[in-house]
Amino acid sequence: MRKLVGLILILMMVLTSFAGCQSSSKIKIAVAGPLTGDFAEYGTGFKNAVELMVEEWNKKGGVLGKQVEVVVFDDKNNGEEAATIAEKIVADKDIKAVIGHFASGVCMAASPKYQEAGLVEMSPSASHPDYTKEGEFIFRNNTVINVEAKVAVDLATKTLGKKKVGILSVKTDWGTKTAEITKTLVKDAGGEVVAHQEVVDGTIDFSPNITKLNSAGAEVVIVAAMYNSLAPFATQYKAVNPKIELVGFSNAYSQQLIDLAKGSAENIHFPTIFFHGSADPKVAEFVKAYKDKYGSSPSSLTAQAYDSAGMILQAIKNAGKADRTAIKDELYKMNYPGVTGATKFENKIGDAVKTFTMVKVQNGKFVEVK
Amino acid sequence: MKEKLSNLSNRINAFIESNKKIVYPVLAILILGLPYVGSSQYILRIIIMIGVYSMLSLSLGLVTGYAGQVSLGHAAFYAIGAYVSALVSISFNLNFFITAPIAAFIAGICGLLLGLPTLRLSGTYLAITTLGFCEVVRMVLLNWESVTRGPLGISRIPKPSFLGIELTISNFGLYYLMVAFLALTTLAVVAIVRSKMGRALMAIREDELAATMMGVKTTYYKVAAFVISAFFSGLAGAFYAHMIRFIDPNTFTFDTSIMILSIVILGGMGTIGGMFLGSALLVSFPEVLRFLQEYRFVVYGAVLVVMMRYRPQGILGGQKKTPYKLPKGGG
Repeated sequence: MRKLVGLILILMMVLTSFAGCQSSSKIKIAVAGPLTGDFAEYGTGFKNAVELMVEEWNKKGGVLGKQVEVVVFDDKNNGEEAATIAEKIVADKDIKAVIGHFASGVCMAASPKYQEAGLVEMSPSASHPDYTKEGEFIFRNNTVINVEAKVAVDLATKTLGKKKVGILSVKTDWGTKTAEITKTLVKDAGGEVVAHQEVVDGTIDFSPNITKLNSAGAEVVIVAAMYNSLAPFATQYKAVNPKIELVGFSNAYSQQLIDLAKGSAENIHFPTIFFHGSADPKVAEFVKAYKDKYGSSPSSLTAQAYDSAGMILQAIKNAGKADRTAIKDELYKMNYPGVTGATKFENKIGDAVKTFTMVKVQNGKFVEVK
Repeated sequence: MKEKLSNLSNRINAFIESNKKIVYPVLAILILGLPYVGSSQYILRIIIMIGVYSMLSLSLGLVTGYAGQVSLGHAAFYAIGAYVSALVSISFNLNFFITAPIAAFIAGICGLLLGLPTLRLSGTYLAITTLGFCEVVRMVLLNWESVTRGPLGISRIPKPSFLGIELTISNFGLYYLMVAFLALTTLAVVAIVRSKMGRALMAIREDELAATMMGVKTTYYKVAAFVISAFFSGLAGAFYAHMIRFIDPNTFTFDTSIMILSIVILGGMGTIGGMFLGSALLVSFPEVLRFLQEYRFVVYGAVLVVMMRYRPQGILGGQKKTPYKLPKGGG
């Protein structure tokens, strides 16, 4: 009897899913990300950015004369749910591409399905080096670690001119890999890694790490962590050694960093691909449109989601048909000028090749490093 | 209303009891034929996840439902099973059908190691210890980089293959594999519950002191239940790893432990059917409620609260009303 109830439930689910399957020749773009849970902020950013981009296209008459529709799926930043959603998305033939999944681990739980079904998955945030190795339908519009780390190391050894480098990294797939690559790059640049400290995400008290880095004689610390770690780290470190120089990564580029660290944020350098204060009119327009619509300033990842949507719509237009495989082919041919700089994909690998802007904090504001 | 419902469920129970020979084969055919009834891969995937959670909750049900020991760390054994199977199959290039038993076995050993010192504790103390164990396992997975690849996780885990055929969702292979594993788990749990051990566990649940006085070796039975429970969770973990093909330490958090415990409590502690029903409800709810978008977990929580208010013993829990069958004479 218990199984019977289970079966009845299953039947109900089958019926409800049939109800959602009325097919038509629409063009739909799926956004999948965490709309609930700890990372809801990022998923909402993805959704907002994609909706903004699609709205702009729809105002101009849509793509191929059709209005584009955005469908949103919440994955709670959970791999298990993401893989289930992937089944749902690939089954809907109107969906032409997916923008999303936030964390690398979640993307990688879902990407085998997208690759198998031949649907473009474009993650604005995945950073795991193996992510795009799943296959040619798997893309990311995010910085690739080696390119970004190169810029960060240049900032530390050339722009700031320091040779004794300390590294602080957060224990996530991204942090660990970044630290590993940074170490080699520092050596190549003629510097010396004097100490490497690892912290788990969410650490607040960095004093043991600071003591070790400081006693090892670090002159500059490259911090592979998000702004919520970099801000307290900078405050605590500068209380010990006010002369320390800090270099962050693009995911620490956030207004929150200055708000949290106040004076200690001064002269922190970063590479970034999206710079609010850029002289490019496209960027100013995007920032204004986003602020008008949602009342907040877009983050780097939001901007990357905005460009991801732009690239996919452009690919549909270039292909002249809304076909899943054609979109993939067009993406490899494209050189897209977006708000996060010019983007292209090389050698049939879905890693975005981007140019970086170097910024630093000066008088409580982000300015470009010349 | 409530009366009518429980009457109805009693009548259904009685009907099944009296028509066993028809009902069970029909159910078996329904389950085996399910993938052919035109359900999509999406639905099939959810059903497979229901199966995985049924295995987990059946195994936890043995410890929590029958022996009355609350464990908040069941995700740890799930994680151990998944990691061991994934790592062994990648480094030694072994087939899933070899690595899965190894994984379950090692999870069982971990259950023994945890069970021996901690099962002398009870109630909240035991709950906290198991919670701690779950975190320890996660931290080991995160920090023992040379073996577990740390935060990078394990990607490209091979699909299970049977006689050279790769089992996937689309060829229904994973579904049947899940059914086989679940049947194995269910049979084992039913056999245990109906044996001397099952009665010993229930005696421990009702009154541990009284059980000791009656000559039940309480620690022995509790540890045995824990080991068996860890074994089947490890098996579920191995299945999950090879199905989803990417695992990292974040896959097996405290949330997963809570989810398994919720299934056991919602379904009804000390029942078998309740585990299936609980998994079916809690796994499919978030999907069925997907149209509510960001509010779906609010509704999910509200449903749980309402359930617990009106049926604290779980959906199928509580007293059995089916007439007790007296053993046939001769004994």
